[in-house]
Amino acid sequence: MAVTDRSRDRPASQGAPRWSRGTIDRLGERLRRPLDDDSITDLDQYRRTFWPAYRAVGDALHGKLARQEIGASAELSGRFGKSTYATVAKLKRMSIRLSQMQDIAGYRIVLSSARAADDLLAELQSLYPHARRFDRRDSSSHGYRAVHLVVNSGGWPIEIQVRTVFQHLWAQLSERLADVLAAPGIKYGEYPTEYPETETILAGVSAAVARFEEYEKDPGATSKRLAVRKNSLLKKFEQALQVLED
Amino acid sequence: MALFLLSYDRLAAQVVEFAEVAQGQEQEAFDRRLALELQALRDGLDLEVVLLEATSEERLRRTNARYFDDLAVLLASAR
Repeated sequence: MAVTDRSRDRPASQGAPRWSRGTIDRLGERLRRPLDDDSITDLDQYRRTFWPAYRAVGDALHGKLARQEIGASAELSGRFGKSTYATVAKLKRMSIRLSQMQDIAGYRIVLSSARAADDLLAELQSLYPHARRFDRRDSSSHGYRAVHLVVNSGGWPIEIQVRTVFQHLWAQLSERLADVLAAPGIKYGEYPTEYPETETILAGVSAAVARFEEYEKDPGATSKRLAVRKNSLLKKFEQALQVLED
Repeated sequence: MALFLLSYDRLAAQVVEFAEVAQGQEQEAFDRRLALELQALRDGLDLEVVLLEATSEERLRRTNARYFDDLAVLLASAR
């Protein structure tokens, strides 16, 4: 059965949310100050308003992937409601207003290859022609590589992250390192001084992923050479994981 | 897709609560998340409380491997 997201991808001026921009941004300012029960509760109320929009996009993505050959190898997951911890950290780190935050709720689709990711992105852009696209493969964010689409679902921004399996593995590695080294700034280029090798390792693996994916898309690529390059890339990840374990 | 509530202690780098949300119990899960975040504030903990969706718990562990320390499993699945 075809699934239609009827609210999908309206221009930002349509589908006014119940919360005014001023109310949202005043809440954002309160969240920059020491937290209290009221600010956390208000953020939660705001977060909950995303649920119908989040569900509508999820249903559309699920339907799209179920109908596409590409969907068989695609891994769809969702995150509803950015945590208070992450929301506050982002507000404090950046000059962004809460009403501008586009990743309060969203989905991630992990594909088996760079070519599959490109094919899916083309499909998603026909599903959501007004989606804003942030290609982080071109302007690498401290090694993070992926393509993010932000669709407007009835007035609410919903983020869709499209990653290859190796981009995803790198992102998980980076996040895990940030946690175990107690260095939450790693993904923003703030590396822990007591572990200077972190930057070199993450940058090296990210560059290796980029080279591998470039080769994947090369029409002259042979399956034999691709397998060799893939093994080499996996070894780089294994070495990085070893550092993590040490 | 199944919905999961996960509470993660960032300083300890470990999951402290993890449960699948039964269908139709989404509002209760939202309430539980809020309660955990309020409690974390009182306890002074850096808890990240998230609601995650995946087709199964096994897949969730791959799509959000960082929470579960399952990077080796994720790497194996990339082969």
